[in-house]
Amino acid sequence: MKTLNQTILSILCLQLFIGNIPVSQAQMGLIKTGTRVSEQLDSESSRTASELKIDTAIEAEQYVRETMNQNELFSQQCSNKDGEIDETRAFTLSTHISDEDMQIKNCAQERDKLYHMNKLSDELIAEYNIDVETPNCSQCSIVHHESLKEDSDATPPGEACSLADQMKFKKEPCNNYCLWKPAIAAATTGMGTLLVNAFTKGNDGCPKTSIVGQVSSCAMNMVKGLLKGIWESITGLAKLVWEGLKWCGDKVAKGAKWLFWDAWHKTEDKTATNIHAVSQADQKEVKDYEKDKEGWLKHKFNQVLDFIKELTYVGLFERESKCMNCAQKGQLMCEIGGRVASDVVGFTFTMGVGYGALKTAVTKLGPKLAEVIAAASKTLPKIKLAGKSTAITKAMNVVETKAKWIGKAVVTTTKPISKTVIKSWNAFKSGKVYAAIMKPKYSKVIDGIKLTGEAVSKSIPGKVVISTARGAKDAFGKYLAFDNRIMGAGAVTGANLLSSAGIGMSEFQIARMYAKLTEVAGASKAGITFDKKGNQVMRVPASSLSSEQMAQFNRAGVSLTEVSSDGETILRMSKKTFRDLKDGKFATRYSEELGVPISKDGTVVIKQGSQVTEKAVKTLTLEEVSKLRDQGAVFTTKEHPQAFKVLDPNHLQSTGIKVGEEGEIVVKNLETGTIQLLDASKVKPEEVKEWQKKGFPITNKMDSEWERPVSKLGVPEGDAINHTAAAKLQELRNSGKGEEASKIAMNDVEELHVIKPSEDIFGASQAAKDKLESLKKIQSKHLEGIEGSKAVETKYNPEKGLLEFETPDGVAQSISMKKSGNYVVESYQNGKMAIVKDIESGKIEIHDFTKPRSSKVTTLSKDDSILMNEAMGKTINGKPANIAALDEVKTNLELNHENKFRIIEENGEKKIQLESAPECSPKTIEIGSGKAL
Amino acid sequence: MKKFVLWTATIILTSSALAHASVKNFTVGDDQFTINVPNGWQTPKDFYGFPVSLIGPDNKEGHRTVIGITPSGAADTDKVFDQGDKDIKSYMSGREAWLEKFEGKSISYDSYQKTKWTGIEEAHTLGYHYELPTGKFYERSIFVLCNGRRLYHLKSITHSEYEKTDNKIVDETIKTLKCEKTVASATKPATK
Repeated sequence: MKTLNQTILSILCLQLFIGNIPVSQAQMGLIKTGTRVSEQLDSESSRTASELKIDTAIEAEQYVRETMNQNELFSQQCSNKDGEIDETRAFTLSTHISDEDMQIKNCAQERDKLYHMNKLSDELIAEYNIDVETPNCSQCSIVHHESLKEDSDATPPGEACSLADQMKFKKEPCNNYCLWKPAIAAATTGMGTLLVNAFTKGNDGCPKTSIVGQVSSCAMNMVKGLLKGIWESITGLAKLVWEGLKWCGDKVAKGAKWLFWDAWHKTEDKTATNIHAVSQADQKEVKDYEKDKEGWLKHKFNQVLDFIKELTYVGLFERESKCMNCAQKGQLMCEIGGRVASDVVGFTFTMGVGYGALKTAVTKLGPKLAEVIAAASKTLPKIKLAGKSTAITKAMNVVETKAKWIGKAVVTTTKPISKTVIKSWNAFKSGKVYAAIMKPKYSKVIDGIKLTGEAVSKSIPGKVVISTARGAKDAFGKYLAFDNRIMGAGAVTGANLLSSAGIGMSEFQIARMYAKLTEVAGASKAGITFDKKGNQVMRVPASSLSSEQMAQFNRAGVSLTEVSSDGETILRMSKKTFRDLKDGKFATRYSEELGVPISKDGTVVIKQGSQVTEKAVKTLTLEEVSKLRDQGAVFTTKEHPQAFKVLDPNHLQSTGIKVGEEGEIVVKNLETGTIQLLDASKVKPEEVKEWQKKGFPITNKMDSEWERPVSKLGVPEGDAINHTAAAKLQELRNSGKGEEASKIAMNDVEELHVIKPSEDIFGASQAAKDKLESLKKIQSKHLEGIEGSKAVETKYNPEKGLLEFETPDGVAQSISMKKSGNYVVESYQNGKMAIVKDIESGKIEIHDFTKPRSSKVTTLSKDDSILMNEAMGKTINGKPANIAALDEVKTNLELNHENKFRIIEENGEKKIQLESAPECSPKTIEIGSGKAL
Repeated sequence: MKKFVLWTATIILTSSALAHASVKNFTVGDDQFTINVPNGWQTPKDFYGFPVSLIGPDNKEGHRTVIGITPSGAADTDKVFDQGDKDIKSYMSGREAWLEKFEGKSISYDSYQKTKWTGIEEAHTLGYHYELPTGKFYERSIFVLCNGRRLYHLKSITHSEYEKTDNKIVDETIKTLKCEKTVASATKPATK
């Protein structure tokens, strides 16, 4: 019988891949034992969905064998006498294929395919090796509930927990192992797609491929958060119980009591968190659960998915990203997604605030919530994972690349790969054919996810054959079966659940359809016309677009707007873009497309051994970048302090640490709790060894698992805005303009909404203090003069953590405060509402005592706080500006989240204005034509 | 004698909040238990990770009273609660950290209690009142020793609005928990 835990795990995986069906039924189902993989992959395009049905999935060993066969076939037809590949030759699949399936391809296409096949085979072999390394990874899954007990008996009863056990427990390697795999897979496929859909909705004109790249990588945050919040909330309890207390429970020596306490806390935390979830399930839900546990879990995950969708569609993105470049947009989406997942979903869902309540909140307060999330995303600590083992690193790589590959084939590895095949594979790998095929080449599979659903659906009856979307559900199931094995869950359970899930398909279908579209080869004969706006319009037979052409078009800023009923793809572009296209200048406009950083002047600094060169990014191509990377080149920007220094790659070699691409290392100082970004060339090996002795984690910026160091500006290193600020500051400081640097720092800090007067903000702390002092004075003056509003005496009660005060009407009120601070409380509307301002930080909270407790506090956003700070110090046309502003803030938040408030002075008259992203589309609107004032 | 016992039991039951309770048998970990489930309470298995949970009726606040039972994995109570104040402080610091994470705050902590009742030879109880953005709650953790070997974790939660009525039911219900003798427990020596 399936246990709940099995079900939970399966559902988790199902959720992770929602909207994310990465392979076709054909790919999964028709790959029968003994048939050639590639034949099946090729022949699927001529079939329709109704003709396809699941048969058996290919197994790992079979896949590896077939890969070798295909390589051999390829070698026979595509290699010249010197063993080099001649891509101009024709390639024919000549074995047992019926005439209707017979296809002739060129060797270049075949090479591309084999590249992926070889890669996956490599990964499968590697994965088998991982299995060997961690044969009893029982922590991976709660499914092994029973076996866990056996594992934990490894330490004989009554004996102290061995140091090895303690370390194993402390590191929790399998937790990471299990979390990362689906996270990466989902991030590069389903969740990414989901976000892309949300993203593209409000960001016309942004090259969509760029976004896809950003979002795909960044969506990992979201998935990680989602896993963290949801997985643990629903499944983690039993697991923790077994892994926590049981691990060392009665074996803890007194000297290691902390270990028990740590485990105890975790168990208390989980039971406390989960009991809230139980507490808020009504009778119907419990009955539903008892009646159909699988159905209940599906429902739960559907709720989460819907909720994520809600959040990503509420408009936060449109507003926040209005004036950001594509990279920034991607980053923002990532951050918002990550925060939504980990802090909103994880927290609220677990704590049983409930989907219904959340949905209401999102609907009503979407923009506001978005704002909070956006702000939180910049200030809250990043999700942390403990150090990873070699096996985990391997597993991550396996899944990451597999996720990209998954559009081509799915492999189930219910059986291990035999040693014979591993041996054969290793022999094959050392041969010329493999080396020739595996020369670096970019995968095109992921590049093309950018069509809208409508456009794709219109393309189906046309000339483009969309094969990868068929049978998605089943294929999804098969893939899960594969992943489940890694995670220790029952493959059959996962596949069954998935095949019946039927949720979230559309996003994936859209994405995969487009991915397929981009792979359709053939010559393009574009018909060119003009639309009413003077844009060039190209009508291209959809089936004739090569992936390279499509990628180039997109990089060039061409938007693929629709597909006509006769299967033609309509591409629109400006005249300039068209000229660029015509002149062939379209290859590399966007650095993110190439995966290289870009300097402010559009150049990139390339370091190759002792050579340092600077090139305009637009002159580079993917092929060149790939080649350079392959040759060991690193890319940086000229703004980077180390840009023109030639790195000595061997400098810290003796320490075994890996220096990042920009010559940096990141050290987590466990003694101070800080993370430092250091120039590796300035660090002595002895220092590194000292840190290593102390157990400090040392890594570099390329390791996504590590927290980025937080700069003095309060934002993680690597954020675009921080780069800009840092560059400005550096420049000014270098030129001796310290004061100006301070101002800029201050502005940036304000912009980032991380005012922390206690920090030394590049020497600007005094300026910050002055400004805050001035605000305080203005406010005091203001409070004396406003009718119906007055400052109240406040008293902080540290025991209760409450800020207590009395309203003008004599009504006792209290506001929960985390710590004692310098607060000003202003009440109005006869004490029904209060504005609480933290003088030091400038943070403002609005407490509405007329609302239910859970929703009575509103923390103002950065902009609104500034507005309120300003307004609290002014009387406008005899009226208390803060009240007017507050009302307008609230109205504005509900009506038009894109607008921002400003208080301006014109001809001696003060006005509150709504300013709508001036740098994007300049407009300023006076609220109510000034009547409100 | 039997009649007297029956009569006494009837009197006790009818005068308590569990007058209409039904007896539920269940297995958690390696042990079998019985508990009296109050009338109208639900007892889903493996709900949100709790092998067994007893959930009170729906209420206006949307926060039902719950008792969850999980195996702790630990087996030796002496070592678990052998450091007196230090253990208690550890519990408190853990709860404070949890509350901070969820933007809550503690209101008061119960003092640690070591008790026993028929069928449970040892029970260690800790509890506290706290406030979250969603309301005020009373939560208790009771570690009961079963068959002299294994420690089980009972956790209860009650919304403040229902403390007066439900805490009594929770108390009485928990005290009906009995750890049955198992074959395993009869054959395996305790680890103490």
